[in-house]
Amino acid sequence: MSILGQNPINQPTGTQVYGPVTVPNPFTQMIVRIARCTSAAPTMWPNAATEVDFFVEITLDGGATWLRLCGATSFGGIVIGKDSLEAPESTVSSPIPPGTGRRLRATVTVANGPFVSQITLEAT
Amino acid sequence: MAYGDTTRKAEAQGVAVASINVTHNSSVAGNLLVAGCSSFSGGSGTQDPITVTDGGNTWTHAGTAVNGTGSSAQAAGISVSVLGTGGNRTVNFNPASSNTHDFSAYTHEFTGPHATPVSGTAVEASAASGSTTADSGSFTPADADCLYVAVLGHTATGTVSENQSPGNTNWTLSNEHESGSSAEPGSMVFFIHSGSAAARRAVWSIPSSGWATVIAGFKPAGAAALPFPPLFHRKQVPLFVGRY
Repeated sequence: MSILGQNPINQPTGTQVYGPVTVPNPFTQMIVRIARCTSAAPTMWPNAATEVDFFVEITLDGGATWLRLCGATSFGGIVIGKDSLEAPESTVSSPIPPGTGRRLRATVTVANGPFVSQITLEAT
Repeated sequence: MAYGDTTRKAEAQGVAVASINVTHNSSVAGNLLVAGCSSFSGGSGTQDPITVTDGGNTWTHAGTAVNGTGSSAQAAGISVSVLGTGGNRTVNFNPASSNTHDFSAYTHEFTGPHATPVSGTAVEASAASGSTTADSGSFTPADADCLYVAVLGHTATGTVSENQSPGNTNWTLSNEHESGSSAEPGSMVFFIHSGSAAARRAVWSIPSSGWATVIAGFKPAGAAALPFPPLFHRKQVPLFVGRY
């Protein structure tokens, strides 16, 4: 289930926070998807020098404190995935701690921007 | 002093990223934090060695198995830290290059480590492709009462089953990932041994794919130095011989 979709984004060099969004109670896993440059989508994140560092945090107390879950760094341009095809997205995923009233937010820091892409935060 | 499992652990999976990090929460200074990682360098060339950091503690690389280059480049590695600083630790897995990788990253925390815990030499194994069994090979640490950790990385989606014969069948699963066609599957297992140093082996059944495994051992606090052989034999003699 997509709980946050930023379509499209055009983020300059710097840091942007997306969310927070509410996580439905029974969900136990989250994934962040960032669209990559491909031959079919050449305007998405085309510059290999554009560095994107992103991480996801969760709050279990209504926003008073935030716990970092996971994150990743990646660079733009076309990359080949395990299946020998152009990778359509960069993702990072992890379990979500149990609780009610949980909220997630994603922080994206761009170097050598701008960063043109789509970001989706999903929970399952 | 024996190792203890705190049951505190964390995991994350990344696809088409240059590095990954996972946050291990509520760790305690003095404990051993184990970081296991499987990674795939998709079509980018030789698999990178991966450096583990957390922005405060010292990490020791125990071993990494690397299999192949190009589109089948697979690696599995283990690093550890005896935590000088506890709390919420963001553990970073950083390849040497900025090439795109798929990752599975795991952390698991244990009590009772020696200050320099690595025991013996890690055993690294791999196979290029078409294998349905991943076998770490036999590993024997240099010390008694060790914590054994084994990590698997492979390349295909499907069920991963730990504790397969002819390996030991009493490993404890820390974490695993089974999705693989556009992600990175793998597994991390451990065993806390009581007694003199003994050989252990980790075998997994996996979907047909290439794989890499590493198995390492870590000695506990209070681990004695290796015993020296006696310099001489003393024959018991009476202390006093009375003469009447």
